[in-house]
Amino acid sequence: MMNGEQKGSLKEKWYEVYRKLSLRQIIWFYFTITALIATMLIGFSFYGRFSSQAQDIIQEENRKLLEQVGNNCGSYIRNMMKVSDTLYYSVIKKSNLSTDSLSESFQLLYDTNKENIESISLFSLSGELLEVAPAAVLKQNAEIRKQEWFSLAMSERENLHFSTPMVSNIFSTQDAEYSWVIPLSRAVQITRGNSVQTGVLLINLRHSGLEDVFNNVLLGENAYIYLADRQGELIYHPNMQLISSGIMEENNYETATKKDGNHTEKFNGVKTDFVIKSLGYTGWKIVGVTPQSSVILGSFKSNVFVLFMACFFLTALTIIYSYISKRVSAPILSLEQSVKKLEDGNWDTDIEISGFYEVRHLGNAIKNMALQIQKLMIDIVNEHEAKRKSDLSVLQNQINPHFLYNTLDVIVWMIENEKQSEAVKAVTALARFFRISLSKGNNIITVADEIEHVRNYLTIQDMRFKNRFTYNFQIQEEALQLGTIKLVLQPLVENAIYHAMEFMDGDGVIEINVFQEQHKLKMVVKDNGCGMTEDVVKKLLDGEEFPSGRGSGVGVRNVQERIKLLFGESYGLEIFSEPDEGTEITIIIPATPYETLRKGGAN
Amino acid sequence: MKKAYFSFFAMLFVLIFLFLASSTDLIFKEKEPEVYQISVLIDWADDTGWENFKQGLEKAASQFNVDFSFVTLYEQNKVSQQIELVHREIAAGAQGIIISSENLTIMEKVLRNISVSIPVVVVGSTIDSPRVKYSFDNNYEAVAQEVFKFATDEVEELKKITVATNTVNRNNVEIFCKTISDLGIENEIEINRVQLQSLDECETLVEGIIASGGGVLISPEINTLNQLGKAIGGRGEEVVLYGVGWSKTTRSLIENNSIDVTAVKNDYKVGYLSMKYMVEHLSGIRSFPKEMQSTENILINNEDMYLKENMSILFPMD
Repeated sequence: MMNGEQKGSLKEKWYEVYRKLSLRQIIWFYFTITALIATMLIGFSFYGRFSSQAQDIIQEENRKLLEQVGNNCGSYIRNMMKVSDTLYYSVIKKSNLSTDSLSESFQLLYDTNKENIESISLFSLSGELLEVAPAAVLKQNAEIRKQEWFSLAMSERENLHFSTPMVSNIFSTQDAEYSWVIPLSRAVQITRGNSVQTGVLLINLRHSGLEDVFNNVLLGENAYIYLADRQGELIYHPNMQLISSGIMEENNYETATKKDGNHTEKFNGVKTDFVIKSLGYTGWKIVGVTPQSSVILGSFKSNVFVLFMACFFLTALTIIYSYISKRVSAPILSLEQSVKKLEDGNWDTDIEISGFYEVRHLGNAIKNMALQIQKLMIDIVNEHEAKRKSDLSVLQNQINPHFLYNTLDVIVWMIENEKQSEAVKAVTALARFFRISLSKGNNIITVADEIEHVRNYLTIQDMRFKNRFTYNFQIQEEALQLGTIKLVLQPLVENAIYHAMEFMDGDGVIEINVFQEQHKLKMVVKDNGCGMTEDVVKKLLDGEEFPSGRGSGVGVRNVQERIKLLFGESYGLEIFSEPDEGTEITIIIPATPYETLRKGGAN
Repeated sequence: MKKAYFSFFAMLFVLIFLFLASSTDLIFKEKEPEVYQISVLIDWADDTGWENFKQGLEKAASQFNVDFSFVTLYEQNKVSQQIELVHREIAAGAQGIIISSENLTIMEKVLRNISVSIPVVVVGSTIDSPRVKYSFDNNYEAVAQEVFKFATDEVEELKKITVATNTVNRNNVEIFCKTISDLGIENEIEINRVQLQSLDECETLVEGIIASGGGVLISPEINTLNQLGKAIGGRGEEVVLYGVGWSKTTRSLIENNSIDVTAVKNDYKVGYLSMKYMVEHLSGIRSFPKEMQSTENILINNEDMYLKENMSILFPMD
């Protein structure tokens, strides 16, 4: 017994298996199951039908055969009755036993019919043997009047009487052989002199003669024919001796009550078909017996053949259903493959639209949806780009206006102290500084311009801080025409001046190194200032820690964000710093020619 | 895809197999009905008294596909020949032996010479042996009681009974004689046993009885019974003869009142069933535990011989 948990588990397992089935498998599976059930139903129905028809045919054949046997048997009986009639009306009635001998006529008729007749005899009412053919001696103790055939003849004198089979027992036989006979007796009028007496004419019919009528009739395996009188007493049966010995049973008494035709009955646990035909004069019944088990189409090979046919049709249907399921599922499968490609981001995938209407409709819908998504994605990218540019502008506009105020303040001081040439130099540097800062609104400038921009800045700061630091440039010639975002070096140099040189008293050194390394452009700002701890560097890059508000206001984070915004996460700043040793910040961006970068090539 | 190809070829294989199995003889061959070789041995030199038994055998043989041989002794009363005959039949390929031997010593020797694998059905007596699968016992004790009772009922003031047998040692006969002897003592009737070998001896005995004013003779053996009947020759009023067994000769002797009554069993039925049971054992339809069936006897005289219920026993139709 399965408990509820096991049942549930089994159900889940089936559900799991079911879920893993593809559309084609499901279609094939249900079609095949349907075909299997249909095949079985049709098979059983046809099998039953054919069995029934076979049974009907056999019954009909048996009925016809029985009809034929009935005719033969009837003919046999009529012939024997004719012999009796001939003897009576042509011989006995025309003879006077006082003067005429009947022996010649009796012998002639016996000889003519001796295959079917055991003996012909004539008895007086007292049981005296008057004539017999062939010649025989009456047994001493033969009590003729007590014989059943004699009593029958005397009871209904106008009729002929067929008695049930018996062993011939009234005449002595030389060889002690015995024979079974069917006595045919009738009352006759015997003329003896002037008196007419009643006698009995007995014709002992050979039982073997009747057996010959039935012996060669084959109804089928285990089927047979028997003959019984009106009361059901057996006259002929292929197993007569077995029945009388109690080894076998026959339903003869019950059958005798039934009318002519086909009947089905269960006798001794065996369902049996009976065909009954009555014979006219005697009322005897010929019964054909066919056990139904012998009619059923049940040989081993025929059962295997039925199985073969079922498997054949099932296989044929399975193959056909496999083809149909493939045809039905192929467009859906193709559509599913296309959707998978879309899922993988291949938006250029050509969605194959085929198959029946619903699938085509679905394909078109998916195609339109993909196009719509693609359009939306482009819009999002454009929007994002616009936002990025907007963010970049915002960041670039974060230049601290204090720088301008302080520079102008220095220039005023120079003019007031009649340091015109220095003032001119400062104003020129400031002008160049702003020219590059503005760059006609372009975000992208050449490395050369960026270097120039830093030089101008450093010139101004050098004037302001009166030789508190020195600086030098190491610029690779090939790097000058590469493109960069503007104002990336200046904030780092500004940091170096404000944060690194603050306590250096003229020993501060700022080195700016620009070069191309493989596909990367590296711009290094190095100072020998107070440096930073590793923790501070990390926080600085993560944007958690900001230097004090002094300087231009465009800090390390600003530069970092702008680079990542434009070039992606692979690029940005690298900071190496040791407290009391100095700081080295490297700007890493892709080495892209200016024109390419300006036209958006970096993306 | 591989799975699909595998399934396809598996199905194709199944179809080919089923086709070959259903439509050819390559895989399954329809079983042809087996013909059994069975030997039937009796301990008599002729088949007198075995006619009905043979008819039963023949009926069963035709029904169950049996090729049987009915073997009698070379010489009358040489029952020891059965041992040799059993050897001969087994060597000739007999699959089963149906044997009738009323001499238990001989029967034991016979059975010792039969392999256990060859089933044996014993007719007429019973013996305890693993080789014997079934036996039909004549139950001569019951027969003797019936015949004795009939005799005492029919014959007034019965004082003496002569029991006539032949000289061959047969256990059933001995049982019969002992039972009659015991009943005689019980009923104060003198029992005289005589052993006869020929018709002359029978005639002498009958003449002696007639000369002494008549008497009652009983013979449990069919040959002795028939010989005594012939010796009486219709003088039934002077000598009353009762017996056991049935043959064509017995019929005539009953009809002419030479034999008054004989105890008869349904030999046809015994013959048929012995063959049927043997075939069922050989074909494995049923395996018999050691079984024994006592055959029923009826007493027949010339008045009821042709009664319907007796005719089928005495005169089998097949």
